[in-house]
Amino acid sequence: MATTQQGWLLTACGMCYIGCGVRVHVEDGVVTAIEGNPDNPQNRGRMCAKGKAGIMTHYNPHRVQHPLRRTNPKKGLDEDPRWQQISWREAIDTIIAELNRIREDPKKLLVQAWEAVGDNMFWLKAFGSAFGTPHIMNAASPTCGKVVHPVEFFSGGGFHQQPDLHYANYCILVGTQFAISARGSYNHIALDMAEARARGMKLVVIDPVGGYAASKAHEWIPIRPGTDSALALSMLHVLLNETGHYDEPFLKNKTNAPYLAGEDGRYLRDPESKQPLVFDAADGRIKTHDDSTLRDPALSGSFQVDGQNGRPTFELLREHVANYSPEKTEEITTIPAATVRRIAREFGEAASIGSTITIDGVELPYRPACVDWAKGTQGHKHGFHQCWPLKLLNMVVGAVNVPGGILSTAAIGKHPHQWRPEGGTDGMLEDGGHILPLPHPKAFPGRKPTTPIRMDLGELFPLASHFHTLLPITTADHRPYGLSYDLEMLLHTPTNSILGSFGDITMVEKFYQSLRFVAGFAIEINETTLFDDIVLPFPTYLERYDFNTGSAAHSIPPCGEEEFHWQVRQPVVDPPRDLIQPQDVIVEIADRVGVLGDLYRLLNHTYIIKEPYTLQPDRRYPASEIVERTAKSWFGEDHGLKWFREHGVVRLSRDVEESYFGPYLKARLPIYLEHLLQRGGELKTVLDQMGLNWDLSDYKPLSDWMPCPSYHAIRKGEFDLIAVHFKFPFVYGGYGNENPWIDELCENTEAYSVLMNESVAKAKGISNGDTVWLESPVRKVRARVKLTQCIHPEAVGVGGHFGHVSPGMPVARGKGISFNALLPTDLDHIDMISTALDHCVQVRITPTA
Amino acid sequence: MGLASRVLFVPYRKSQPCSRGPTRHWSEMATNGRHTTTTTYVRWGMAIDLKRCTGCQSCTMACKVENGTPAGVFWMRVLEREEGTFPLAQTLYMPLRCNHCAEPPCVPVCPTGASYKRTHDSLVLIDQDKCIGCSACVIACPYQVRFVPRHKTGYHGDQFTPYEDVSYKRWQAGTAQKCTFCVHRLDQGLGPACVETCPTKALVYGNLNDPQSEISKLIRTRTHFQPRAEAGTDPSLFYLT
Repeated sequence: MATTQQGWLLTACGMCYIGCGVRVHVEDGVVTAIEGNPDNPQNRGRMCAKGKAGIMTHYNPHRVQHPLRRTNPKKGLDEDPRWQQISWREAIDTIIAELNRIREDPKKLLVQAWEAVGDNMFWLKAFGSAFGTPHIMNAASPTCGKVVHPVEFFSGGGFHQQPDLHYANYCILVGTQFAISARGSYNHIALDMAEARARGMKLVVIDPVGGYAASKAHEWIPIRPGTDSALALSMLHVLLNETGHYDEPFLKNKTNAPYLAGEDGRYLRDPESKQPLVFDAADGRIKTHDDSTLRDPALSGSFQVDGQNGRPTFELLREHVANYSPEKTEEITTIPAATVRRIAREFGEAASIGSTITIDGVELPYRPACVDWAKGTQGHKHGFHQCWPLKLLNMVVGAVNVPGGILSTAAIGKHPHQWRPEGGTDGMLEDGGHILPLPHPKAFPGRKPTTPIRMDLGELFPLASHFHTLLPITTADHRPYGLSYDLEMLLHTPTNSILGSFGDITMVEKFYQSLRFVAGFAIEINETTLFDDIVLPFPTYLERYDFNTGSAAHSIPPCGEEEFHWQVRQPVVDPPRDLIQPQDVIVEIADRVGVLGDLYRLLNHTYIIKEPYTLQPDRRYPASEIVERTAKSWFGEDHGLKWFREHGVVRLSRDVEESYFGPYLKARLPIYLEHLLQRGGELKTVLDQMGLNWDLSDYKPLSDWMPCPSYHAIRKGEFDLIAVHFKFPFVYGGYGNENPWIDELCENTEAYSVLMNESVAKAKGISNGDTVWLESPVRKVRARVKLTQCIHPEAVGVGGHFGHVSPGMPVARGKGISFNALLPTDLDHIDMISTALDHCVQVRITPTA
Repeated sequence: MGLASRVLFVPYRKSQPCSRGPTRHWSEMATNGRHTTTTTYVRWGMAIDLKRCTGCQSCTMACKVENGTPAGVFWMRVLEREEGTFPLAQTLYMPLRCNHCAEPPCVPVCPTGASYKRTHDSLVLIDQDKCIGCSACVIACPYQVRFVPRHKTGYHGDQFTPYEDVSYKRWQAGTAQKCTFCVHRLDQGLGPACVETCPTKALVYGNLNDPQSEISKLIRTRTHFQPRAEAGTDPSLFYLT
């Protein structure tokens, strides 16, 4: 048992979703130190402030140590649940009774699964599926990966994207503090970024907030919130129509740029094979894209095919982006036209189109320039189209999954399993690669829309990866969608989704109040736990068994010439006496509702547990044994928990193909999203049948800048500022708000204040440190103001994920504000493609007087 | 109120910038009596690369967990200071801590000899058994990196966490404390906790008396300054700019 262990013990950090390798010092059962494991190739012995503070999260004196039952039936953020300590038997009996009550209609169960620290996420998802509900919520925030995942699935092949810091000479970050304040594998990429900057890589940061990344950039270009696509389209215009920086061979042979589109925007297809057609300039003939005689597919021209006029999609793109001159973009974005031209030209030149590099004897295209984007560009009413033209910048110069370009995370591997992106429909990339057989939701060709059964209307978002942002809207009134049932029960991980996963807190509160029965795991009584009927105590990361230790292993590892690694998490100290490992709890519940066999079947599938280690339906395994069996199944009989305790991490080298798979990909990438026309048309038919009149203007193959509601609100004079969100490196993605060391750091760095441009504030009579009213269309809160020159004058910066109100979090309570709580939540603020919630909200700031 | 406004910010941009290349040859440093005692073989120093530092505060936290310092006490901290006017504005991040000066003003003012310079490696240390908490050193230090916590109070008040139960035994209330350069780690052949964790490798420690050490090479090849060198303290911290 863990209590007998002393000295330095190897396990995995769990202070955020990444999962670095750590060694933990234990003296007489007390954790006295945590250090990075230098053998782990992801964090290479380094740790961030959150990880270093982990001891004080582990020793939270207010943590939940026993099952609890609420005795106050009234639920609300201001309601005292009046907890009563109960036995495990009573807790489980109550949950089983509620599950049995909805057993005949399992879709009434909602599973809130985000807890990327360890196995709880995949286990609760597997339980939800075994029980039979489609309502499995697996995303964190209301913007979390909303656009980057679908875009990756059809134009990269991985889970997320990552600039290749090993080779890039020019890197543009838009709405992200990549490798300086945030993102997956942070402790790895932070060093790579420092090394890249030291060797001369130019870093350009485009962001309304001049934060950590901007301060380390060669150039910070402030941009008006919600105008990223105008900038991207303008840069594309400069590259394609002014400077001529584009990778013609790549576009011809590796993308759908030569596919011929008719007047209606749809591909012209071969009547028999139905494959898209191209014009071969080599012999002047029309052919299918996969014709073996195709030598020189044309990127321009107009061609007659069976009486229809067809033009290469590349030409349509070029003509389309010509609508976005830098002068027009200056008016939209406030970025001077000359700056737009200059960075486009610098980017195009840095891409070194046509050059190659030899790595391990293999000659590869060398494109040392890339554009990266994340939350800031995703969180908009038209978030998909804010982001897609930014990805296109990489694509037109051929900088996708080649040295120096934008790379796809975790897309391909040869050990310990085989996984890789694959082509499909129309010769295009269709299936992204993933080490775990959790297939990416199809973003190409997408899914056929149907009348919804799901409460989150997933059926009406045929390209999206997640849908949970719809839940507060549909549960408030589901009649317009023809849904005639209610979600009645919620099972959740310890994650605090009330503050983290949605917008307008009043709507979210009503949503949680509408759920008849809520049971959740908890380490501390956070705002989500306040709505629980039954609370199940959860181990800290230093007390847990997990085969999955975070996203750095399976979804967002370091890209390029980096090793594959895998570690497991195992306790370094014993949990409190009345605590049961969450896997064991789920097994008990599954067994008693009669789905244990299905749960095991799904776990065998999810975790690729093979004979002789597969979980057998007639047996009960403790959590430790399941982790042990999985580890042995992956790495061999000798690689059990003991091996991992001794060695910490499995390291496997990756070859050139695994590092830069772009040239190896047997599929084309899209520069023109023809399938959006098809899905948009199908969606309109379904919506017409339902009597719904949604704005489907996003379903178009070429992006436009479409303003967010806040853009208009400012012009109407209703509000004068736009609030945006940004990240702190010592808070980002973490579970440390109640940690007193992190709290002290936040106080010392004024992280709890909102940022306001100094000149704008002074004109309003507001001074540094003042307490003000911050008012959005849905919420008015008190906030402390920090005046700064490092923010766009039209923006207000709200960092972190604060604003706790739960008495169970006495350290964090009353500190800072919740940005999400300010966000209007209705269909006018939901991106109709990705379901991202609009994150640039109009606000006014007034002195509290 | 933020930390930056509570303490004196060292005006590092204006203090003696050095040109590239060594100012004096190593052999001169090693034998120059003003800087070293005759028996000094090692002079521990640290180079802090301000280009690499991103203000992530990992070092701040690594110091806290390593040394178990109480609330409000930071042997190692990273100050933030804004420079410029929109849109040409940025935040500068500056890790700050004891400079382990070759001429430490805190040592001669100590009435009990508690503050001392360790002869064989030039570290400035405090013998808490001798310290009477008079704070003379706190006042004498031009860098404001010495602390005298009057009480042992945990982060959750009088009820210590099990970690604090152990770690608070490492220091005495009512006596001066500060960065020890993680002397307990150095003596085991390990690097200081802040250096080991820094995600961007912005902190480099080493022997200033060894011309082949990484730190000596960095100081030779990079522009740098020593904070408030004009005070005549000859700090062992070198900020690379």
